Parts: sequence; C-alpha cells; structure tokens
Amino acid sequence: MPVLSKPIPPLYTVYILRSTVQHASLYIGSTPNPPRRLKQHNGEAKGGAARTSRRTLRPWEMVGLVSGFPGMVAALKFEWALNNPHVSLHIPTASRITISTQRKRNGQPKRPPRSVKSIISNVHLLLRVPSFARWPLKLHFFAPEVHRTWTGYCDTASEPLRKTIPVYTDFAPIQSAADESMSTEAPSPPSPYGIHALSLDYAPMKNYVEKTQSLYSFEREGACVICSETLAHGEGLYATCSNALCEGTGHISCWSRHLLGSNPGEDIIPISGCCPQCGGEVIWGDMMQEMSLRLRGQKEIDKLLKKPRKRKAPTTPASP
Amino acid sequence: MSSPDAFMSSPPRPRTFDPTSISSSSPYLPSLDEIFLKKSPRKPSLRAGNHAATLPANARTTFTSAANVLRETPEIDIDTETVTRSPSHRVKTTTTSRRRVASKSDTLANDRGLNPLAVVMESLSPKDKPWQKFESKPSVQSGDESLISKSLKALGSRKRLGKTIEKVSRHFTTREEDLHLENSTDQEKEKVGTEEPVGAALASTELEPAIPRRGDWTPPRVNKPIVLDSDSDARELFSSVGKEPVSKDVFQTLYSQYGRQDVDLTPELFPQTQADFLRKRKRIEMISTGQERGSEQPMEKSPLKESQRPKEQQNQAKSKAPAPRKKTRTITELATAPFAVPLASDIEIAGPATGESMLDYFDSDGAVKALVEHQTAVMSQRKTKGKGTKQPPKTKRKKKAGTEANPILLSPSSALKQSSNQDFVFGTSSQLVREESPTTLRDLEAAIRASNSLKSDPFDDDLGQRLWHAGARDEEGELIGMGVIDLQHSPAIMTEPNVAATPGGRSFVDIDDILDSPKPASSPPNAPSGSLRTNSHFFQSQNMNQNSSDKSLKSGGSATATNVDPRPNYELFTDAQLGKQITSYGFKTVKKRTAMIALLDQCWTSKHQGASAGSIQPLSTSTRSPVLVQQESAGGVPNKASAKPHGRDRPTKDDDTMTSVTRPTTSDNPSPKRPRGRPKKSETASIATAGSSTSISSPKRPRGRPRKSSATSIEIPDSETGTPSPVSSPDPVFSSPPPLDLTTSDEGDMSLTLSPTDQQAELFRHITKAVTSAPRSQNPSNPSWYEKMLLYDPIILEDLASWLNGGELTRLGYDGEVSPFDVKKWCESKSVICLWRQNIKGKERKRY
Repeated sequence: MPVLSKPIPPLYTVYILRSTVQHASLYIGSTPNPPRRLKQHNGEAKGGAARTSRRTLRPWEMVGLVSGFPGMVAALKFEWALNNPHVSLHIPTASRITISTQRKRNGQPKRPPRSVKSIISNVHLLLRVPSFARWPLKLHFFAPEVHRTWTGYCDTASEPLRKTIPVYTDFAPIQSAADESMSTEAPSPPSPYGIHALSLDYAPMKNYVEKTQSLYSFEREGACVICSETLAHGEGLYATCSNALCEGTGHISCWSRHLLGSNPGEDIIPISGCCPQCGGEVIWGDMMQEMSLRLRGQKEIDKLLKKPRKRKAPTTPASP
Repeated sequence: MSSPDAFMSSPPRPRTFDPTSISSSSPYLPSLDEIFLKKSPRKPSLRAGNHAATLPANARTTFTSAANVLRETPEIDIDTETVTRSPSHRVKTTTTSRRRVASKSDTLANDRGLNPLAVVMESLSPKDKPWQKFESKPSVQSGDESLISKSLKALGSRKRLGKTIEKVSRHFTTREEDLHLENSTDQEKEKVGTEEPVGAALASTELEPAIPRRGDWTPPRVNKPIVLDSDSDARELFSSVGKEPVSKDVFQTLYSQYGRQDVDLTPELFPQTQADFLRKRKRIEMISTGQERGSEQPMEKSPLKESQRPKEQQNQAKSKAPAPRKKTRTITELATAPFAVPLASDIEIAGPATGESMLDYFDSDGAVKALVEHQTAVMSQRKTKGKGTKQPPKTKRKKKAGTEANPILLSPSSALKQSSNQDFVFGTSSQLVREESPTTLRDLEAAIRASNSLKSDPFDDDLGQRLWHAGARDEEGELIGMGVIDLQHSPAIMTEPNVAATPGGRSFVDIDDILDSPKPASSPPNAPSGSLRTNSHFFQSQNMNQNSSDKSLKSGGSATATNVDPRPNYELFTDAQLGKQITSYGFKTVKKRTAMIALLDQCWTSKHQGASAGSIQPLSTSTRSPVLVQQESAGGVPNKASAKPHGRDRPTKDDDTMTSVTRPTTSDNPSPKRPRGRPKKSETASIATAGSSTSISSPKRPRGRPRKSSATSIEIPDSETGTPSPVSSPDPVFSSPPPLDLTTSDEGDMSLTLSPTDQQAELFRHITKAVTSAPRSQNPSNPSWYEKMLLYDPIILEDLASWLNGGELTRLGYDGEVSPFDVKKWCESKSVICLWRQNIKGKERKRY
C-alpha cells in the first residue's frame, strides 16, 4: 500500500480554456496552478499543450474552472470525463448528453465538436454523476457569457445540481477598465481577479490551521463531539470543526456518520453539515483538507505559519 | 598467432615481408656496383611503404632521379601516352600485387646484402640533418622538371616504380654476373609482360637505352671520378657517408632489437669460415654494409669490408657451402632458418630451385603451387622431426632447416600465404620462449587424428570421425586443420610423396606420419594434453553412442507418449504459426510470443483433457526432457560442428570419402534439430507453469474495459490475482468460469453507473457495511479504508478487494467474493476515488 505522504492540495482545478481570438476554440485541462498553466498555454512559459500552441488562437483565457479536487487523481479523472463525455463510464448511458455519432479510424467513437454550452452541460452532468457527486468541488466562472450559459443550463437541466456546490463568479472589472478617468484616482495596481484571485496555497485556511495546531499540539482534543469518547492523542484520525472559535473534535468516522445523517447506508462520503458543537456549517472537504495537512503536511503547515514572521523580519531591519 | 586474414588485410609492413624476403633470396648476390645502383631507387619505394615520407620530394628525388630518370625517360613517355590505359594498369595494383612488388624490392635489397633497416635508417637520417636537406635541395633544382614530375609520380604509384627498379636491378645483375641468367630472367619478365603489356614494352625499351647510360649512373668506384651529371648522386653518397657515423649511434640500439636481420645476413653474406667472427660482430657488420657504400667514394674501407666484398661476389657466382647454423637464438631466426637453406645449397640444386622460384615469382597462379609444395614438404619433415626429437621447438626447427631436402624459393605472395599459415607467434622473445612451441598445436592435432583413426574404428566410423573432428579444436576454440586445408586443397598435393602415401587418411594428409611416429614420447609437454584430449574425445564418442541409443529410446518413449496426441512444441513455432494456431482455437492473435505459447498450451490441455490427464502430460515431458537435453546438448552440438571439418576437407578427399562424409551429415540433419526443440519444450512447460504460478501474483489484469474480446477472457485466470477465487483452479479455459459472466455482463452497457443488479446491490450493501463498520485505525499514518475514503485518498481497488475478500465480507455474512471490478463499481457509486494499482502503461504508480 503506497504511503500517501501528500496532503490534499490547496487547489486543484479543471479549467475551461477559451481562445480570446476565436471563442469557439476551447480546451479543457487540469492544473493546481491556473495562472502558471495559462502562461504555458499562451507561450509565456514552457510546457504548453500542443493544442493551444497555434499562434492565431493565442492568447487564451480561462473562462471557468472546477476547483476543490482532493488530488491529482481526482482532477485527472474529472478532466478526462469532461474531455470525453461521449465515452466516459462515469456518465450513465441514460443521462449522457454528448453522444458520439461518428467513429474514429481506430474504431473508437469520435468526440462530437464541443461548444461552451456542451462543456457547461457536461460539467453540470458530471457534478451530478455518482462518481463525482460527493467530491468537494466548487465552480468558478470568469467570463460573464459562460456564467450566463451556466445559469441558463441550470434552469433547463433535467436534474438540479446539488445545492451544496458553490458557484463563484469573478469577472474582469469592466467598469474600472472602461472608465480611464476614474482609474486614475486609483493608482494602486488593480486587484487580481479571475484565476489570479485564486489562492494557490493554504492561506485561506490559515486561521483554521492555527486553531487546530494549538488544539492538537497541546493535546486538547478532549472527547469526541459525537461519540463522547476520549480522543487519545495521536491514536486516531480526528477532525475538528472548521468554524472559528469552535473546537469541536471527533473521530472522522463519527463526523461522517453525523454529517451523513439520515441515510447512512447510501452514502459514505459526507459533503457538509452542521457541527454538533457550535451548530455552524462545516464542509467536509475543508475539514479533510485541514486534517490531511495536519497529518501529512507538516512542512506545508510550517511554511504557512512561518510566513508572517518572515514578512516582518525584512521590514524591521529595513525601517531603521 | 595471426590469422591469414589479418595478414592480407593489413597494409604492407616491412615486418610482413621479412620471412618472404628471406625465403626468396636468390643464391647469387649482386655486386657492389649493383648495390649502389640499387640504393638510390630503393629509397622512394621504402618511403612510400613506410609512410614515413613526410620528407619533401627533394631528398628522394635525387635518388629516384639518379636511378630512374635517365633510364626511364622512355617509360615516362609511355606512361604519359598510356594515361588512358593507365586505369587497367592501376587496377592491377591491388594490395597483393603491391605487396608483392614491395616484397620483391625487399628481396632484392636483401640479395645485395642491404639491410632494409639500414636503408630505412639512411632514408630517415637526411631528415634529421639540416645540412642534408640543404644539399639535397640544389640537386632537385639541378634536376629537370621531368625529373621532378617523375619523382612525384614515383610517390604516387609505388608499384610502378618498384617494378622499374626491379627490372633495372635485374639487368645489372645479369649483365655483370652471368649473361645466360639474364636471358632467363628477361624471359620471365616478358612472361609478366604478357599480363601487363605496358610493363613488357617498358622492359623491351629499357634494355637498349639503359646499357649505355648505365655507366653514368653506376656509383663511382673509389678511384673513379664522378661524372658531373650525376652530381646529385655524388652528393648523396657523400652525405650518406658523412651521416653514417652519426646515425649509427642513434640507430644502433634500434637495430640491435631486430635479431632477424642478423639471421638474414649470416647465411647470405658470410660463409662458414668467418662465422665465428661474424657472430660476434653482427651489428658492426650490418652497419658496415652501409658504410661500405659510402666508403666507395672517398676512402678505402677496412680490410674487413674488403674481405667481405669478395665473399659476396663469391656467393653470387657460386653459392657456398651451407650457412652456419649454430646457436640460433632469436625466434625470428628460428622461424626463418628453414627458408634460408636454399642459399646454402649447391648451385646445381639452387639452379633449378631458383628457376622454379622465378616462375612463381612472376606467376601469381604458380605461386600457390609452389607454396603448397614447399609447405607440404616442410610440414612432413617437421612432423617427423617433431615426433622424433624431444627437443624444444627451437632446436627442432633448426634441425629441420638443416635437413630440408627440397627447398623452394617462394614467390612473395605465396610466401606471404605460407607465413600466414605458419605458427608464428609474435611477442617478445622472452614471452615466446616460454610459450608452447608453435608446433604444439600441430602435434596435438596429429595426436587427435591418430587417436581418432585408431579408436573410432570399433564404433561407427563416420560417427566417430565426425565427433573427433568436431572436438579437434585448438586452444583458442578454433577448428584445427584450418591452415592445413588450403594446402591439401591444391592439386599439388599429389606430387608430394608423403601425402600420396596416405590413401587412408580421411581428413588430414599426414595421419600416417603421425601413426608411424612415436608421438607421445616425442613431445613431453604436448603429450599429456594430447592424451587428455584423446581421452575426452573418446569419452565423447562413447557419449555419442549413448546418445544415439538414447535417441532411439526417446523415440520409443515418445511413441508411447504420443499415443495421445502429442502436445505440439509451441516454442518451436514461428510467431506466424503461433498466431495461426491461436486463431484456429478461436482467439484473436496475441502480440506477446510467450503469451501466445501459454495460451496455446492452455488450449491444448483443455482440448485434450478428456483424452489424457492434461496436467500430467506436460509434467512428464518436463521431467524427462532435462536429461535428454543434457545428453543431447552434449552430443548434438559436436554433431553439427563435426560436419564442418569434413566439408572443408572434402576437396582433398577421394570421392568415396566425400560421400561417406556427406551421407551421415544429411542423415543427421534432423537429429541436431530435435535436441534443440526438446529443451525448449521443457522450457515451455516450465514457462507455462511459471506463468500460471506467476500470473497469480502478477498484477496484470484486464482493465475496466470489459469490451475486450474473448482473448482477454483467457487472461481472466490472471485477473484473479487479487482474489484467490476458485477460478484459479486448473479448470479448463473453455469452461466458462464465473468471471466470464462478469465481463459479458459488462458487454452490454459499459457504464459503471448502470443500475446494479439485485445481486450487485446486495454486494454493494455488504461492501458499504464492511467498509464503514470496520474499526477505526489507531494509527493516523495508517488509516482504515473508510478513513481513507473520507480523506479522499485514492483507493487501490485490488487492495480493497483483497481486504474485503479477506474475511470482511464473510464477517458480514456475505457468502461470496468480490472482484476488483465490483469494488470499482462500488467506489464510483460512492464517489470514492479509486485506482488500479497499475497505470495504463502497466507500471506501478508513482504518484497518487
């Protein structure tokens, strides 16, 4: 059994790439670092895909992405399914949207030409299929028209998406770009948007990590919030509520049982729920990310927690 | 020992020529005048040969011009005229011909008592001396343009030059010594000329103009004044004289290392009377020859030289009594000793011999003949000698040389061939002395042959013979008798009495000799090894017989075994055949050969299960075959190899022997094949068993694509690897095992999310229960399956399946086993990230 030494990455995405020159040119890929990958696609960095190497199609932009993949394997699975919705086994035949009508020379079904709408619909579908339905995925849209397509499809979709999938939009600040006069009064560099606004590290969960670090390093696990069993330090996998100030901790199996709730027989992976201690909503993906970081990513934690000190260090000598 | 090929392919080296030159040295030695004439033309050829000629044309030009220009002006014209024809002329200048010419020149030089090395020294020395250069330059200027061009040409085509030189020298020799000889040589030259019309024309044209002009170019006597025209020559002579002492110091040491030169000189130049003295001061003598030339010009030489010169002349006129053979020391000396004999022999004997040699000398075809004759004679004598005398090789050789009755002057080419066939061992003398004598191999071979002819008789003749020959290998593993074969091949062998005396000799001519001679006693170091060999061979022959009996046994056994259809040896099949077989069984062709074989084995066993216990049959073959393999590998290989020597010897044999040889080989052709097949069969069996055994552990299994054709269904036993399912039992392949319906069920709809059947739903429920109800892990670094799933860890399907089958499902009351495919379905239905242990390329995953 391989030792899984890596924690759940802070970000892993499957993105939809669109040519800014020709909007019909689309590409689907996966990356833990969308800005870097976009650079590659645009030829600014080494390693772009051949499909996106044509100069007439550059530059490319990421019009949307699915984030929250718990790892490379999951992201690649999703990417492949989204790239091959006509053959992916994750899609039940009944609900398959993209149906191949032609065959390639090697006998394999040929992928029908895709459009933004087909991709969006397949994203919608894949987020519903059992294989991916309970993954802690999030949706991001960086192009208004794509988001419009999404919302439009959501209305017409035969089956609604589960409510717990968050959909974020982060469009380019059109207003500020249009009003040059207005922008003059704001000399500060424009705040990043789109993929550049995505955090690539564990910074968003810094507080959470700090809380759990203090909790676990001082062995204040206490008793399981669900089964009230005493949590022996280092003798099991314990998860802590992600809400600030709440230190509700318990076995992950207890947490999952608690979060799965009514029909434990059907699902085994929780998505989200309420913390039994504070009553606040907890997202299973976040909890697992934190726990994997705590169990397997001591290096990342150190990096995350040391950062502020490092920032201070250069400033203090610089000031005098 | 160097192979003949090496000799032929290697560029002409002075080293190569050495034996040749010695052997071909003519009994009459040229006069000193001739030597001086010779000296100048000699240089360019040597230069070219040695590739040492970085020296500009100047120095050489003087020499070349001296000899050639005046004499060869016609030739130049002819050349220019025949430029169109020249390609044909040059085509002939192959390596061999070139070598021959070079060697000719070499021999000539030797005849005159010129040491090639000394010549080299001289040619080299001008480079060293600046004043030499300066002197030579004006000579070039003084020379005509034609002269320069001539020298250039000489540079370009060594062969032509050498030829002309040779001719010239010959003329001189003949003229001065004996005219009738000259005529004969001329005739011979003309013979050559038939080959090369240009050369003939040259020869004819040269004769007339050369005579009057020769006076100009003969190196001046001590008393004679130098003609002005040849001032370049004169200078050369001066310079050579001047440089001589200096170069002596430099090259003395160099020269001393060439022991062979001494040998050359001793027989040729110096009669017995002065042998003692000469031996003592060999070196001095050698150098003195060079000095001698120089001494002509300015001053008189020491009395020693004076005494020597008449000697040489005497030699030329009448060859003296045999050269002294005492205390031959160097290897080269030993090696060349036999060939020096003709010189020593009386003129009556030498006359005819030389006549032959001259023929051979120019006739390339006749060369082989002469070579054969000589070689056979030498060999026969040597053998008798070697057996008779226990002495170490040195002495043996020496004696041989002394007693050699029929010495032949070999043509350079034939001599070269012969030398390649001889057992020359190159190395430092100290090494060589310690080494086994070159005759050891021959003795060994002879012993083997003798024992062969003796002992193979009781058994089947052909069989034994073949075996013996197969085993008759020298120490390097090469077949013995390779060198001998060529000699026998030629018809000249008929003339040889020794050969003719052995009608019964099957493979080698001299078996009788060997038999007659008291072999083992003769060579103490050789005898043990020889006897050992014979023993081994004897053993082999016995083994062979056993083998044959075994074969018969085996055939009987196989007959009994093959009452049931014998399992075809798939290992022997070609890929195409295997593919055909597989298709005949209704499978798609598999790419991997081993896979194909395994599949066919399975098919065969399942097919013939009813008839015979399929599992037992291959086992029995496998158990039985190793023995056979060993025996036959021992017997079969020599069998095959034995055909070779026979084939080689064939031409020399009588027809009946030939047929006797060929017959068995053809009859045995199938036999060597069989042993080859057998072992492989056992191998296949082992492979099959190994494959079945390893397949359980091998992680290779059909992937999620159940679409695979029935060919993959064969692999299903492999796919059970994760689950020790009952299918892994030796059920015939064709009985549809449980996993088959799994794949077929997938055929219809590939989607994993298809609503599971009731059975599957039941299974899934149990899996879920098993996973979730499993106890929590106490070790954070080793979470339980459920905790892994909760952590979104990729789940390895095989591991989970094995875990489930390892008692978890039964714990929950589920009677049955779960396949990784089921687990995959379950995982995907639960949004659990799952993986196969191997990636698509069939390798272990590195990243998760």
